Amino acid sequence: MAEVDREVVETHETRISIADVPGAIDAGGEMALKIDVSCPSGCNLQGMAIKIVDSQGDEIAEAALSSADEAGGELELSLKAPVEPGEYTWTAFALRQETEDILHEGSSAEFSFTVKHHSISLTVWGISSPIGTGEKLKVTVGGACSANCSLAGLPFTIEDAEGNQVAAGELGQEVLPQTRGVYWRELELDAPGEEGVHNWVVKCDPSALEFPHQARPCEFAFRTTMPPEHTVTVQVFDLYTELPLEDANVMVGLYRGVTDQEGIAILRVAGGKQDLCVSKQGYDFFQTSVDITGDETIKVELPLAALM
Amino acid sequence: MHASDEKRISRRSFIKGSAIGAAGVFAGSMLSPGAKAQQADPRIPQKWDYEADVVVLGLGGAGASAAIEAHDSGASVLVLEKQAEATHFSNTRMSGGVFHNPDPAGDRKALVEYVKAMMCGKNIPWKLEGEQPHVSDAMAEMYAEGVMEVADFLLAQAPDLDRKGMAPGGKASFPMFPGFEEAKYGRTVFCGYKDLAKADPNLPLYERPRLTKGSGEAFHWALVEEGIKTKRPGIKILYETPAKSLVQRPNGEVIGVIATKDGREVAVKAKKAVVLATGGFEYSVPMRRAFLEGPGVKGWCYYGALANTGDGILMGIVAGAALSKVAKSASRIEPAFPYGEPWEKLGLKIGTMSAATSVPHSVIVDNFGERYADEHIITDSTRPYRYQFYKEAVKYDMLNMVYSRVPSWLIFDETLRAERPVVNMNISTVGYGFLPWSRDNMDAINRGWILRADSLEELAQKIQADPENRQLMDADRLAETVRRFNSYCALGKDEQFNRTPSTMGPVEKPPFYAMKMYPGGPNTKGGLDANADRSVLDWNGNPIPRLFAAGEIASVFKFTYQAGGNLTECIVCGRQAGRNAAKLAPWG
Ligand SMILES: Cc1cc2nc3c(=O)[nH]c(=O)nc-3n(C[C@H](O)[C@H](O)[C@H](O)COP(=O)(O)OP(=O)(O)OC[C@H]3O[C@@H](n4cnc5c(N)ncnc54)[C@H](O)[C@@H]3O)c2cc1C
Repeated sequence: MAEVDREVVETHETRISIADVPGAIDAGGEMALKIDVSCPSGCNLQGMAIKIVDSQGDEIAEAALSSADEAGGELELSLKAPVEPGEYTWTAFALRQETEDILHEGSSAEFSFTVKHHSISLTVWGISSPIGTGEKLKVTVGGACSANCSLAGLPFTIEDAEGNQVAAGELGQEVLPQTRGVYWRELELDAPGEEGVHNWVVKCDPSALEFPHQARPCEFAFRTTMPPEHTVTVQVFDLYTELPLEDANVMVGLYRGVTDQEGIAILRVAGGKQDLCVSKQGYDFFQTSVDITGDETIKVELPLAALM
Repeated sequence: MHASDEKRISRRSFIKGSAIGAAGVFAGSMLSPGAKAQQADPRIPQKWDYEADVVVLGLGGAGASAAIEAHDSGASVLVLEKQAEATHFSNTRMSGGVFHNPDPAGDRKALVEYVKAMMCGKNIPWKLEGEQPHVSDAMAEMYAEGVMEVADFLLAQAPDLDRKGMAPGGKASFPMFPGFEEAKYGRTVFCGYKDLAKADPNLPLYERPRLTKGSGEAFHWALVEEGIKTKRPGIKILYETPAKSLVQRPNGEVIGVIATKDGREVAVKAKKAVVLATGGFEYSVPMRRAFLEGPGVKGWCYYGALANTGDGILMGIVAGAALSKVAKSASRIEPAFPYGEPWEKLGLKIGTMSAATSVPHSVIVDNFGERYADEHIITDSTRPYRYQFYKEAVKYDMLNMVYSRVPSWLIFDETLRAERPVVNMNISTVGYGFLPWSRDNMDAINRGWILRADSLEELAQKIQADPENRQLMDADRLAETVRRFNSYCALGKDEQFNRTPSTMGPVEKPPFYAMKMYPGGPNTKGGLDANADRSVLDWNGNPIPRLFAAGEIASVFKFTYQAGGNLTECIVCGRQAGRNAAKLAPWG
């Protein structure tokens, strides 16, 4: 009897699953997924084609299982997240695959994630407060993107409490030392003419950046006083060793200073009765009332604090 | 590079020989071959390896003072010390070196009143804790007597100490307690040798030449190196010899000690008495578990000797001693880090002293991102409640069922990071090389002990990712807390907690940093109950024969932590114990 030429085709089901789906991802960010396809009969599925399709049916990516495990095969896939913020549901397909004698059926699974705006944190530092009315106020404006985008050249404005723009500028080109991605700009502004505490706000315009960004305005406060007219030199010593104390924080009224290596802090202050406070960690806190009527030198001796 | 980078000394094994688990090691195994075991009391060794009239356990300030006094009272003295000689760093040595020194012109009666208040609060109407009725009067008398001699005692050991720093005049911490003014109570300003001003600041304290030593290093040097080794070579010290248990007769009388030396048990005969001076239980897991209520065993920070594992407290317990106010064991909050042997073996962090809680550009927040106190209180010696700050930190958030302030977070900015080391590099665990630290703080940042982020929002995320935060940190709240604090800085007034203005300054320059802070303190305080003679008491208030205790193991300060009180009691109570031990007639 002649042998019947017969193709033995077994059919196996497959099962696709997706692991490591991030809950939320930055717009345009990298999304690393782990795709696993298994065959209940334990076939090696290396090379099986995988397709990722969005909710409109448009293809996002195609690849093949790159490694085999006991129950099928795996693929680590890196995808670019969409640019538009929102909720997304995509589908991963394992495509039907026919080898010599086994037909592996296709399978699919959906996965969802949220694409979020990048957020810009604005900060203001180095504020020369208190400042004499009408004098030059120094501030530094900085910004960092949560997804670490370059903010070089980002335009910003500063508004006063009434919403009037008092300054505009752009962040500089360099990253602030010690930071991953803070861009900054130093400014010199005209301090208001009235005495008091001022609350200003920095806003930026992220519309020109590649990805959608949200930026919360950043409030900052400073104080204007009568232009200081006197120079007060405070010398701080260790009561016990009689040596000068560096790094002591000195305050006369609202004016601050830090002592140098000679234990000296020079403060420009307004006249009148005010508190002199000197503090240095490791020493007892010192406070007294002073009446400033002209340039003065004040000597302060601090006793060591009990450290324990 | 700063010297402290190289300061780490290899220490073989600090917690080796913790007595926990060794309880009840009696001398059965010491029977020599052929001994008539059936006739002998199995608890009493047949052969003693060492003997002395007075055996002192632990060579901190208390042990050293006891040894000196017992010696000067005519007794032969043997000291057993757990640590190795070359790296013998007790709490006493790692400390600030401040002690009490009331003005001799003060009123004696008022002095007793004041001392009583510190010890038990008996004469303070509003106090709700601290009672130890059977001992307070006599103990206050004893202390009032001894405290007047502390500086002289120290100077007698080390005449090259600078008298000026020890002159009366420093402010004691609780001026509102009865008797303060009339007693002219005070503390020393500084303990140091006379050439201190010439000290090389880059040399660790323990490597400095004698005459430039200061702080606890000077205090230790005066007592141990000068008082004992130079002046009284007759006092024998066995280093690397942790005591394990007491040898007791059936009637409770203590007649010796079993210790470990060179990996074998040795029996030490104490012909007159044993003085327990092994310090507190800072690094004992079972004792933290037993005695500390609050944020678990690991939610505490101690920043002294790692060898203090409550060994003597356990020996006392086994010998029938009563305990007293053992939970009085903290005073403030400080940072602690996962490093070294306590961490590897016990999961306990090593604490150290912060230098950045009361300086501009930092705030302390709870796990939610909220400030909860004037941060300056933590270091401000002019405000007594400083020593109760830990109580704020262990506050339990009942509605959320969390210790929301453990850990607390020191939030600071780049200005502060670049300006100074955020921990004390001279004394405590960094000064003595138990924790590595670089002056620019970068080493701790690189190790992940200090979190760093470009923005407060990102910092909040990093805090949240730390399991100890239990995902409580709220980025908006943290940012709002800092914004509000910065506006107080501009205003010149902290409208929330009234923090001292000169300690304020905005947290503003990126990157931002966060360091964890835990309730705790330099040392635990409570332990064995002991009377004015420093005899250890049993649960009926009766002295255990021939057993004395001094120092942290049995602190006399049961009401409040008092700056300088610890070192003072080392000398006052150590001498008292040593003197009374030497007075006894030998049993054999
Ligand atoms: C950083 C810091 C700063 C401080 N500043 C001050 C201050 O300025 N003023 C003040 O009054 N107090 C201060 N204190 C507290 C003070 O140092 C301690 O309370 C005091 O020194 C305790 O002395 P002690 O002799 O009881 O214990 P310790 O000095 O700790 O000595 C105990 C000794 O016993 C040894 N030992 C432990 N177990 C055994 C065993 N099984 N067998 C044999 N030996 C053993 C230890 O190795 C150690 O040498 C400070 C503490 C620290 C950590």
